[in-house]
Amino acid sequence: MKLNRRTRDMALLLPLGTLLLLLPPYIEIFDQPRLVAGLPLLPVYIFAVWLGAIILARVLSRKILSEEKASETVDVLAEDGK
Amino acid sequence: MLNSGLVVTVASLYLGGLFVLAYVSNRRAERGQSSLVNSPMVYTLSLAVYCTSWTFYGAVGSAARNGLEFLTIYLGPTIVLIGWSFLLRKLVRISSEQRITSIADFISARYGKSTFISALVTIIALIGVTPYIALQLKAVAASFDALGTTAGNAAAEGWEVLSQGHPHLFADTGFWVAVCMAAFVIIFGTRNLGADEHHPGVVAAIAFESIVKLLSLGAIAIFALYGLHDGFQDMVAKTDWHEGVRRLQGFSDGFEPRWVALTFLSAAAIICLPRQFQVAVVENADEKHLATASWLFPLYMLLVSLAVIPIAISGMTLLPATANPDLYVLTVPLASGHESLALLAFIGGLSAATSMVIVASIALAIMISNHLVTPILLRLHSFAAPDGRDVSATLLLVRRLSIVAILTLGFLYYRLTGSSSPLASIGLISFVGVAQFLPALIGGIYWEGGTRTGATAGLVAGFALWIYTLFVPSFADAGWAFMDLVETGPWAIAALKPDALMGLSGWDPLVHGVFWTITINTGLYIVVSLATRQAPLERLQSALFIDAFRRDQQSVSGVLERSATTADLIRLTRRILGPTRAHAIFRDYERRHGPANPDLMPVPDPGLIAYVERHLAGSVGAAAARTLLSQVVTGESIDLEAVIALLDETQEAIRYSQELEEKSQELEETALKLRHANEQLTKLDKMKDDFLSRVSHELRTPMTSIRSFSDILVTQDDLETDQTRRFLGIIQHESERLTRLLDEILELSRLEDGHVDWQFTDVDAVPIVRDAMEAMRGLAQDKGVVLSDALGDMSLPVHVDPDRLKQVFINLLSNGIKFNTNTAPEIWLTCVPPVNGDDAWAIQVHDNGPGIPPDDQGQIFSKFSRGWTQEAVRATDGTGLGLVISKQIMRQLGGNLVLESSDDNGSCFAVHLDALSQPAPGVQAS
Repeated sequence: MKLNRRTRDMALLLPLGTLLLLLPPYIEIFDQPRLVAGLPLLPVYIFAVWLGAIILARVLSRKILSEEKASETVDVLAEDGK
Repeated sequence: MLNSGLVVTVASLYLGGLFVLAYVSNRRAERGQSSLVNSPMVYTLSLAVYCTSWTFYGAVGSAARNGLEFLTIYLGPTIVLIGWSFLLRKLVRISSEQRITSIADFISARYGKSTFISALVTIIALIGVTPYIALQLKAVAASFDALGTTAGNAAAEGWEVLSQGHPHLFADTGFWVAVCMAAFVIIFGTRNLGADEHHPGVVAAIAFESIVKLLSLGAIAIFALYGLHDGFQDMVAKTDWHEGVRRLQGFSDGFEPRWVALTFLSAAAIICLPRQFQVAVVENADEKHLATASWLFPLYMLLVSLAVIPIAISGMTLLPATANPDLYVLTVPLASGHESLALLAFIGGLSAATSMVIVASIALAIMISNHLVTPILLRLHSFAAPDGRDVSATLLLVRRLSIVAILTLGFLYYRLTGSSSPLASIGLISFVGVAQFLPALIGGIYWEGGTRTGATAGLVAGFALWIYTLFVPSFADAGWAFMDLVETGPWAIAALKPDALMGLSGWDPLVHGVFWTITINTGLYIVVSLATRQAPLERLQSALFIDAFRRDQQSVSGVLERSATTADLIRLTRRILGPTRAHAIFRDYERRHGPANPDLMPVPDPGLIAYVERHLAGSVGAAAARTLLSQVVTGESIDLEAVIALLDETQEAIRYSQELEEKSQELEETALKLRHANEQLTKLDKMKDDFLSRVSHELRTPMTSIRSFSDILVTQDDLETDQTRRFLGIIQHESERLTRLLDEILELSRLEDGHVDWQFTDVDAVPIVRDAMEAMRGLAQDKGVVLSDALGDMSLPVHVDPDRLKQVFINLLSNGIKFNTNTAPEIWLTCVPPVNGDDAWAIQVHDNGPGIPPDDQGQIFSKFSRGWTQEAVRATDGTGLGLVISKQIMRQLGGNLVLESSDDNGSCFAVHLDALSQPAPGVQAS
């Protein structure tokens, strides 16, 4: 359970940033009667943010697991070294 | 119209299949082949029990009525899931260490294993969730009825059928679903007591149901998109005129409060709903599964939400306005005559409903039996007596009766209400109810100051306000009771009206309820916590919860000082858990901590007592386990000093871990440097080898020819004089080359070691340069190279060894001449005055030769370089050490030699020299 500070910060930033983008006032910016590729802008925006967050979450969760695995290995090595 | 017999058959087959699946999974788990069930994918799918029939039917209804608002129900959980490493993971870690059995157990364990809090949470959950269970039964019944009527009527009637009175009990689909579910849960949810409350059969079944409902909803959505329309764009373009479709394309005015409140509520629900806590936390077998669920479950919800939109649009635009939006999933395919698709939709809805009922009733049954019934039983003398009979069977019976009670309650609620209140609003009121757990839950794992009294105050107040602001008005809306109260407020005091407390009228009732319950709940929790003190046990538990990631939980057992006899402990465990599991627990403890002699009983030290308590807690909850143990344990006291030491230990651990982190960073850096050094050494080693082989080769070539010619001279007497002379000439030439090579190597090594006598004087550099040019002019003319300089009449006084400087220029010029392959070869010299701050002059030697290949540019000044080994160098009779020696000389002279530029148009070497401030003696600028 030891992560780089950067990874930990990103893990906090991802939910907070996603939340911010999905709440007013940010979300109101996209509330316009416009079509993007024939689809209304607002739902397209929401689903795009959503999908983006999912992709980032996948990247991040893999990073977290691999870093933890690495730090566990270090711990084991440190134990052996004692 | 679908034959109801067919529908019943298909539904029965589906439920039967579910039983088989659960049975097989259970068997596999018992045999230790739980690899399939114990996978992140199944874990994620089990989380999808979140999507009940409320989602399956209700989300479409909500999308049709309120537009995009339905998305908030899935956005909130998405936020919680992608932030898994902070909240969910901590809950899972604590729960596995404390053997938590339910959310009530969790909150109660945090606040000193309080029986009162666990009972309170159980009651809130029961009142909050029962309508939700009723909702599922209602959804199944309504969808069944809708299938049974003709398409057009179904749209109009559907739900209303119910409000006109229920059919006879045995003709009621809801009844049979409830009975079926009760049987399922009793068989697969209460196999045995405890064992960490893992139910592999149940988890496998609900994971399967999650796939079924997603596929089913997806099929209807694809039908709506491509069967009824021609893709999304076509649908948007064709249906733009409809008011409801407009709502799906943008927000209506004043959407903000509901949007924010619903996002908050759904985020709270994904943790606080008893069934979600059950699947996400209690049933979790491996923390790492969360990592996968963190993106996969949001993806699941995204797909569900995506499927909802086309169904809602099709329903709104193709069905009559009187059609019930909550049944669009069924009526859209029915209206276009696709009955088999409607049947698929029905199965999807059935799976959504049954999975919710299964998990919710397991979670609630655990809570009721552990936190309501067991504490009461413990007060009975016969039950509580330490040497009483085996009660594990009784506890199991209690669990099963609880399940029957819950489903009965849900069924009664459904039979008695039958209101036409839309699905979504019942679900939301439920959400607000369970969201009352949030302050005590979050505060409990992040804030050490939260006390039992504070948590109780917050929970009671939040619950009371929830009843008053949301539950009561929902009864009034349905027209059964409290109409006056809601209309005018109690005693006609308008400021106390349930939907406009303190005169906050005009709010959306849900937002109003969320606002009051959550703010008062949180406020009281904090204020009362600050005003009260924690009991020692609370302090201990709060330290364990808050530092869940840092602490070795085993080290804590010494804090509670108490003693008991091992025989008492064993007897107690046998009574509660049955002989088999009791035996396993003690054997396990012995193996880990026990004496070397396995025949001895484990010593009843505090460690063993804590171990037993944890295992009992895993079956009957923390509070009941504590009560049970207190009957056989004497002299319990919490060693305050030990608690304080524990807290200090925490600080110590934090400091230590920070130090470790710094250390490990340092180590990492050192390791990196070492790696670099090693790489360089390896490279140097390789270069040295290259150099040696090169030198050997270079020495060998002249040596070979010398030897062969001298052999001829020695052995052949009849050589002609001319030939002899020629051979001797070759031998001489080769010897010279050999000597030159050795000289240069020697010189280089002398230069590097500093064993050279330097004759430094103050001189003008320009004449030295000109001397060098004169010396090379002969060679230049032979090769047809034009040699020129742009130095004019300038002078550059410097402090150098003139001979050595000349050597450098001769070397540069001879290189330039030898390697110039241009058809009009040219070499010219320029002088550049010092630029910004640097006081070194630069004399540049330009040529228009072929340039040095980019790969070699970095190595031409290295004596082991590749450039040195090139054929071109050897062909010109050079040793290739000239540039290296020149560079060494310039370094010793206090200047430098660099390659300024080199490309296809030629190269430019620059000799850097520090100019003396006053003119050199004897040198006058003319």
